[in-house]
Amino acid sequence: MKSWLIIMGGLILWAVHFFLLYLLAEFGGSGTGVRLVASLCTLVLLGAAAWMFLAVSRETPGDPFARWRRRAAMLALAFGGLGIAFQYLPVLLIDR
Amino acid sequence: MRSETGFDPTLYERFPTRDERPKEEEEDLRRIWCKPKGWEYLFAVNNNYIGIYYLGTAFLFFLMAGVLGLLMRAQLAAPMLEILPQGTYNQVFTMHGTVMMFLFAVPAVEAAGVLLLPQMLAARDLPFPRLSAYAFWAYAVGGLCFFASIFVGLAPDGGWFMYPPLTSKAYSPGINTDFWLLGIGFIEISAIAGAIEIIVGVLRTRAPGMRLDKMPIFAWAMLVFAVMIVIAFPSIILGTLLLEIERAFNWPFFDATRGGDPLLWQHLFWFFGHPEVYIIFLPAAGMMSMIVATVAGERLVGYRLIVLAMIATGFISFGVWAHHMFTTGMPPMTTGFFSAASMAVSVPAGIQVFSWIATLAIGKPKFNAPGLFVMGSIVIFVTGGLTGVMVAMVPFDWQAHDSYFIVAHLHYVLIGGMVFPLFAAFYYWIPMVSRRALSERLAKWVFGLMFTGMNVAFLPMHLAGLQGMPRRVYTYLPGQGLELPNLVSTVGAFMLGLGVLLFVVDLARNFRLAPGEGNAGNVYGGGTLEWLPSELYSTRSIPVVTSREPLWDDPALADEVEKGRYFLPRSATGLRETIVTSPLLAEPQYLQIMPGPSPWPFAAAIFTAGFFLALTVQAYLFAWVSGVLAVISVLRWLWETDRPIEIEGVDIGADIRVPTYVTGPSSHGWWAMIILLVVMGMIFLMALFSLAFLSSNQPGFWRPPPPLGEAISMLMLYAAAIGFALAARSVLRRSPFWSVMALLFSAAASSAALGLDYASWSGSGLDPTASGQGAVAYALLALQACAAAIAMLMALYCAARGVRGLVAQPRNNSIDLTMLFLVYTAAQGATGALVSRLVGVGG
Repeated sequence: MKSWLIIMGGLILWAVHFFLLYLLAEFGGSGTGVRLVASLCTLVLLGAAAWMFLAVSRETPGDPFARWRRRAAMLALAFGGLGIAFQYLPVLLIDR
Repeated sequence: MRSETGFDPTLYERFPTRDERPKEEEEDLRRIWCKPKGWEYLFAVNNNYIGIYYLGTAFLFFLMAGVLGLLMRAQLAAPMLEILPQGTYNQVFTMHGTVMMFLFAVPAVEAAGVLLLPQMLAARDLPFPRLSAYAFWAYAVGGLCFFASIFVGLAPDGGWFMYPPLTSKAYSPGINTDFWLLGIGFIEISAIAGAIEIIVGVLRTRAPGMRLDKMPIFAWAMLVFAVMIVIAFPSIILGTLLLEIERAFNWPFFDATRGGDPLLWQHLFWFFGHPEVYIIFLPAAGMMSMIVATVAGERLVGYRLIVLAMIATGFISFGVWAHHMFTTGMPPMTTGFFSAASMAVSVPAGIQVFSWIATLAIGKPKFNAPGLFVMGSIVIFVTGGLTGVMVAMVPFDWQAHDSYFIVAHLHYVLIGGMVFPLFAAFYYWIPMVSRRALSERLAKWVFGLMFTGMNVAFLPMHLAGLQGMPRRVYTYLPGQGLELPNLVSTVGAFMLGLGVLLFVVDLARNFRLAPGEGNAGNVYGGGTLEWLPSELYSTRSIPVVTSREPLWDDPALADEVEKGRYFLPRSATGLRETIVTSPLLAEPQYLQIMPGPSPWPFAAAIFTAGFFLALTVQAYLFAWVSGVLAVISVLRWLWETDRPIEIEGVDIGADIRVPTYVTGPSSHGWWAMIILLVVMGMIFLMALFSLAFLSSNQPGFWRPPPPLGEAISMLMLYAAAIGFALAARSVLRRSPFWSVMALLFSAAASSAALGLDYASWSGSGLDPTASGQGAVAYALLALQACAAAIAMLMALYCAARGVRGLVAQPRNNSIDLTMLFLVYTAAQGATGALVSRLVGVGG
């Protein structure tokens, strides 16, 4: 399970962020409070992605599979982080 | 990570062994995995047969749905034609979409998985062969009966996504809609059965040494595909159940005048429906990646990126469902989230396309049949992808929605993303299962006609759509500029049909199916394990895998495997068996004894289909008799399984010994049960979403739920149920009797808690026909009743096995799996009791 979490960490964070934003907008509307909570969620999840990226990059893999897993995880975290930032844009750009 | 299980990887160095294997071993394998004869073909469970049956049936549905498409194009060739009456046209377009999506696309790629994966992973078979057989027969019988409805004018006519209120009883009073709801709901169950098989197969039956980073890309694609089915399909199963209940019992889930909401259906449908597109695309992309590498004679560029792209596609595809609902008036910010995700999903798809182009660019691509189809696929899919990014933009979608532009877009995506890769796969892998390869000369004609026909048919539809032609109209008026694009589209569609017909002719001339009797061989020079010499038992011995293209890297491998110099060169127990390996590093863990042919999966499928079809035509007595017979058949099929054999440990080659019976989290049965519980959990989660959605969108119809205090006694009973279930596992070591009794107590406690929950809701005066709230609250109770009934049946089944002395100590898989199900049932019941009393409390 640990290996799967490492490999898919970035994408899991993206998914958590997406569904939080959706649920906030669906059930909470688009008022200032909701936008603040959405911004906070985004910051926390971006922070989590950055922290995981650093943690994974500091690993010293001892065998070929661990090396493969480490690089895959770093790519996924980079992709997930960018995805989180991109997914947040509607909160900034749409004023209704 | 040097070892995942404690297995010493240096043991792999003992292979290939040098000793000569006795001739009798091969004869034993042939006898154990023998060919069926006569009626036994119906009871075959081996993947070589089931895979071919599955693929053949899916292709038959493709042809039949294609004919429906041609009928539609004939009707639209000129304005005001009357080839098809309006009502029939509605049935034809509904069946075309439904059959293509549900009976062709998903089953075809699932079939490819069943057929190819064991060979590609060098397993003897998939881990649950009888489940594969059940999934196939359920699909084939259910699908054919469903399709037959069009010949008697009872085919559904509400479009392939069956939106209420058009499909409600008020506007669709016949049983046409019921055919769709029950037929498709049933067929989805078969898809989920196949997905469970594929996930466990890919993760647990790979050849030793085939670590995740050495797994063929097609196996990765099938893994992501199957996980997506497990997450997405429960939503449509719940949706079809709710709509059928609304139609049958007047529970207003989707009736806005009584606190329901038709948009709830759209959410439930598209939470399944959009991932469905990627569910279809990903396995096809996996095939493309395999074929592109062979066609280019070059290793795939960016293996790691492609794996990540596939997983990312899987994730993001669950965040795009509402882009089908941009015109429904969703709040702008919500719309923005889905628009952003819809654009983001093109990134991983683009990564795969660039990888294929790069592989072709650095290699020396051959313009043979698979090569032509993969290159054609790239062109068509990219075109469809570009229009996909266009419709991801909300203002553009508002203009193009429900027009022929969308018809053009979806056909470019699906034909480029799935049909062309599948034809490439047919040409590429048919030599693996047929004594003769298909004709390269005819293939060029097939490709030319299909590629040209496809573009001639669908390119003008963009124009027709932008000129304002709506989809799903059976005719149009002259003088609107629609005559020419429609006529051209019709010509193109028949050209496409001619290409497919030519392919069928080629199949008839050259396809000679012969499982276990030799094949045309590796005519295109593929590097993966499915090209090892194989028989019905797969390869003679199971190789140690050290690279992604073992046949390219070790030319002697095929010979060594054939001489039995790797794992499992014989049947160690005299039964059908395969090696179960660990999920990450594929280290040998134990020998799985596999069930052989049996009439019971076939009988179970027939009776399950009978149950659903009889419900559709309202023959309730026949339905219940069929249902009971289906349950008996399933129990009878299971009765023969889970029997430890006398030999506890066996030598699987080079003096490496593994056990023959394993229980607990490392057993393949445990994995399958966990996946099944995820499916059930998703159905339950979507039901909770329905409750919250209606509470949020229809607050005027909401009334206070029963008080939270009433749930305390239920929670105590559910806690007791969990305690008994866990105790059942721990006391088995001392007493099978008390273990089984604990299971029965657990099931009884869950049933009692459910009874209290029902009494609490009925005491509150809320009626399921009164409002959306009542309907969903009672639907949650009904779901829990289903789970509790299955839990009780499983506990009784364990009790029966106990009476017959079939419960092995100190651990037993049947007890373990029943325990897991009971714990889940209690947890679901407790969550439902709490959440249903909390949602809309202030309302």
